[in-house]
Amino acid sequence: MTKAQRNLVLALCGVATVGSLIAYAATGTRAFSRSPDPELAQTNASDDLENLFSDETDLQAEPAPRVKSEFAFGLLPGGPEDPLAVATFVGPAILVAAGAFYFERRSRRATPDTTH
Amino acid sequence: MSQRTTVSTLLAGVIVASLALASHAAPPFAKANPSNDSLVIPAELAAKGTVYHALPSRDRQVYFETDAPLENIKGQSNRVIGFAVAGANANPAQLAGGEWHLPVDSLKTGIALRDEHLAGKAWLDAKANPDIVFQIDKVKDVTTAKQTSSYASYKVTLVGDMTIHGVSKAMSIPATLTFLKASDKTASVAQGDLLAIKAKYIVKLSDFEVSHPVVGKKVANEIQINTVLYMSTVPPERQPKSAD
Repeated sequence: MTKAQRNLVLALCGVATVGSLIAYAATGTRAFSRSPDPELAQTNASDDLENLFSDETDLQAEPAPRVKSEFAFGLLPGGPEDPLAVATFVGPAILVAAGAFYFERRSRRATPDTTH
Repeated sequence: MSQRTTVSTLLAGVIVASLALASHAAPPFAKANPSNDSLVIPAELAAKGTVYHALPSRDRQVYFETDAPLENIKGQSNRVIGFAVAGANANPAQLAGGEWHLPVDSLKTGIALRDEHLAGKAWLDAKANPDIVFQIDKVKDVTTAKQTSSYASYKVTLVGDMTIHGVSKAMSIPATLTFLKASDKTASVAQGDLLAIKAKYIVKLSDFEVSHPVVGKKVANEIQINTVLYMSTVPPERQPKSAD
């Protein structure tokens, strides 16, 4: 492997790492990846009884807490349905980058510099 | 003499243990109706007052949250079915009884694999114990918070048996009961007189023999629960279907 090839591989690994970290930050910095859940979304959209009691009584009631239905690119996979995460990009990127260094050094040793 | 004392002590121990077990043996659960959206209320209990039926598949009813090192685990469900029998008009908050069933497999955490684990054998074991059940035995500490011509609100303590993972435990849960009379406005949302039961409480997994090795380490033993049950004197199977 030439130096140029190694640098290209390192650049791609860097892009994958930085890209996954950006996706992680942009989607809420969740520990686990997740996908939108239609059933959760439907439940969360249904507030008519809560609104009715809020409107018709003077009781100061805080809104009931909810679990969001959302997409998140997490640090770790959320399971077979959400396999992509920072770890699934950064882990292989580190291995590929280490491999690129190794193969480039091996190529350099195999073809010693003959110019003096 | 010492042998007689030993036998007496053992016998006393057996009697005390039996009494303790009997005091935590919950009464049999009410059965669900064929459409599985309400419970069949025992006739003798229904005769004691006005029956309010939970309205499942609408607003969120149960929300739970527990600490975990990477991120708190949160979940919710809107599939609780059940009933509450209100007391006489002069004191409706003095519930004559009630029972709520929360299907374990209806708990949604936002992560499908986590939902599977939660219902699995190592955690709540939905196959062996499909429902989490709370049975009201009595209501105490009733105080009127607000009363108008259209609604009344009471602070109460619900005393009953909570059954999770097949294990029953007596619990006293502070709650707010809000009775809202039927009107044209309420009828546009749900038919009948309405009742909202709101409660916040904590359950400990270890009390219900949920003994996964990570409990107390990676998952907190204490679970915070928010329950908001909206109920109506008209059962869910007779409520008009909402147009979406």
